[in-house]
Amino acid sequence: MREARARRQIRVLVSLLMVLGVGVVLYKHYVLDFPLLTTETQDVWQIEARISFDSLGGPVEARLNMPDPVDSVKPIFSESLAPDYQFRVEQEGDREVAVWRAEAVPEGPSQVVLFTELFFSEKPQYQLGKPAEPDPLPPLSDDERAALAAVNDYINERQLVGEDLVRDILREINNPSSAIWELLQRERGKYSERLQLAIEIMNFHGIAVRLVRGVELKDRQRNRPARNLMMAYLDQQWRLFDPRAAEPVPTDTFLPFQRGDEALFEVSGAEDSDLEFSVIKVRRASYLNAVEDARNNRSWLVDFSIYSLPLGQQSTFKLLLLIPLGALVVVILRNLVGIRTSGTFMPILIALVFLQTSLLAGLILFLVVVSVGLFMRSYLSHLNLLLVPRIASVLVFVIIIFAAIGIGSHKLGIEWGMKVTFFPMIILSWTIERMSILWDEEGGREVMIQGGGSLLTASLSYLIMSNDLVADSIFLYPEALLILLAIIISIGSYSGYRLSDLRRFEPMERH
Amino acid sequence: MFGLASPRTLRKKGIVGMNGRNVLYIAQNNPRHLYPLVDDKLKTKLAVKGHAIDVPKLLGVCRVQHHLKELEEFLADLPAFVIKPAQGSGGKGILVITSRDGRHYVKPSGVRVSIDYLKAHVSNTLSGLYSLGGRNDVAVIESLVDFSDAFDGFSFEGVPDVRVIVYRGYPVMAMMRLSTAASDGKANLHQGAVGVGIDIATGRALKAVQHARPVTHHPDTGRDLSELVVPHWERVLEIAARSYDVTGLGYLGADVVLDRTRGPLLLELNARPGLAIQVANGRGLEPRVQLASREAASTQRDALARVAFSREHIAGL
Repeated sequence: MREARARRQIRVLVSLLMVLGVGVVLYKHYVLDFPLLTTETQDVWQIEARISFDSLGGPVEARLNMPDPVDSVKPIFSESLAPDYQFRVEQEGDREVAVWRAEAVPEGPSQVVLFTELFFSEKPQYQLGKPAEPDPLPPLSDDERAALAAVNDYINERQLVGEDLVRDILREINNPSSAIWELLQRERGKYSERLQLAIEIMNFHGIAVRLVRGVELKDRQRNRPARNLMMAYLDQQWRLFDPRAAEPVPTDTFLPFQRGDEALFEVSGAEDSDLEFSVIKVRRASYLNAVEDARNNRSWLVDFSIYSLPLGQQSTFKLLLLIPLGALVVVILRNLVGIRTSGTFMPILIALVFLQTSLLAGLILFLVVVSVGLFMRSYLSHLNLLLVPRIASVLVFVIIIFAAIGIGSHKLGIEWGMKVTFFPMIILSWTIERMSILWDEEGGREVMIQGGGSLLTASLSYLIMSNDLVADSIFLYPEALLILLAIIISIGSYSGYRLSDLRRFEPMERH
Repeated sequence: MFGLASPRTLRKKGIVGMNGRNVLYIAQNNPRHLYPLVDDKLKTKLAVKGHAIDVPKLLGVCRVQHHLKELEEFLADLPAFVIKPAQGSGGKGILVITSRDGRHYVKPSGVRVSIDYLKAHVSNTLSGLYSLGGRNDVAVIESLVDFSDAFDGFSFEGVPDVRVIVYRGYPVMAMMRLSTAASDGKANLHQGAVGVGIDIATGRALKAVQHARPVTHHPDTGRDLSELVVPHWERVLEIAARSYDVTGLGYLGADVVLDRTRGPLLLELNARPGLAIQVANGRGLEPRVQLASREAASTQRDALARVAFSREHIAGL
């Protein structure tokens, strides 16, 4: 009865841990955009939007339309660089506006800056809605109506649709010698007026179009004015076009600050206001972006994680998080394979040393220290010393061996010999002590078996722990420890055969 | 294949692996708090008193260093005795004295030692030199077992003993451990002692293995192992079965030796008996344990009735 209940509890616990662990890992990867490797990098755009103006000497209020959400842009954070002003972000309908206020600004030039960091995600972040019904055409003069009819004929004749239509019309309004536009150019001399008419024509042909203003994302741009582009709704998505060049613009090279007839920026209490953008591109580890992003979204998963620690402490944890992996290796090798080791978790500690010394050097140093230690310890066996003084003596032996290896290798110019000091002396002393007792009680063969088993376990643990993919994964997804725990618990209740059982009972199959 | 048995065959034979033993037998039957009773030989000895279990006679216990002063006077009338650590393991620290030569004590090898040698040995024992993890210990002085000659020629140097596995009070499997030259006189199967499976029903040898490989004759003495019969078999099983009543350990190994005059004596108990016994018997523990488990759950029996049940029903599985 009790056994059945314990088994059921284990099953429930294991599934719970599994679901939780896998769930959080998937959530972090797919929703919070955590990468698989810490070495993965991303381009981060740092944008400064600077409003400069001449204060009139009284209160000043500056308003800047915040960057609009775009398909794949993930904003990391925005902050104000204007210490003298009170800054806040106001919600106005469906858009956000950065607002700076100051009660009294000394007369003369002043400025406010909005600093924004963002990166482009591989997944769509925001779906800009479908356009509403196109606006009705404003009243047109007779001339205009005649010209429009001509343009329509032109479009129908060439069967222009979609992108071709947009580009063709843009090309025409840019072309001073275009016959079709001659009439219109007389009527609408200014470029913006012609563009307005082009938009009306596109609307008329079922293509929703909006003007946008924003900043071109190009590395090392300094003090650039806002760029005017337009976007058209084609094939179920918004596409960017440069009206002057009559060319499409990739969406990831432009960040709109203003869409349609929103105001881009306003300054009251000042004159000669101007908006300029500076852009820098930096490369940064993807996970840092994901962490920053999740923190801004107040994700408690990240808020209460090791990423809230200073970087130095984080790297300590990076090492600590590897130890359970070593424990898993030990559990698998001992309980599923049936390898005997000297000391349950001693191989993990040795594997941690291997991380410092590299595998080959570590193995050589370990073998030298332990075999010399065993040799010296065998003399103590005859003296019948009490336990604690005996181990203390072994400890002294170990230090002497360390010193000998260190000095000897230095004289010989073998630099990795000094790394012997990474080995934990107490653990080595106990290992030597245990192996020595084992030698007396069970013979040298058993010492070889357990020593070899320990080194094999340590080497396998090392290979796993030194793997960047593994180390990074567990650092980026510490929740995977829950999965690890689930595996360890289920192995703990596994009552089937070990590989060593199959070997050991093999004669019974034959006889 | 590859020198590995197929798990399916082993399961069909009811063979239990290490994980199975640890999870199903030990963890579920042997509560931790009962361990000290079997890990300390003195406690075992005192606990079995009055339960019709014979043990080598307890002569005295040396608990503290100042008992050493009285040691010589205490040993004055004892020609032969054994001094052993109560919590020793693997036969470490066991000092056997077979006779006296004037003021000297004679070891089985014929070496004569003085009382100071004995004192030093006891002192070392008390300070934990021979016990598990170096814990302070006590030295138990008991009478020397006068080994029965029933096993002459079956063992090389060392003393053979019978290991009986008892599951919830029912003897389920038995094995005799015979030391060899390879095992250095120790009855330890890892080190090359011969394990002889003993039929629970009759006390006769079933088959023998050394290093997990079948053997028919003792490698050193050349005796035909199939001739081996354990005398007083009923009594051996009874002692093992009664050990369950004393300790409450559901999965128990009882080590029994045979004294020439006193018959079977319980030497020590083990709360984590190994699985090599399955190889020595050519049988798996699982079906026997299953039956014992069912019987223990359904029927109340005293030790003798359990022995009778085992000999009749379990032995054949």
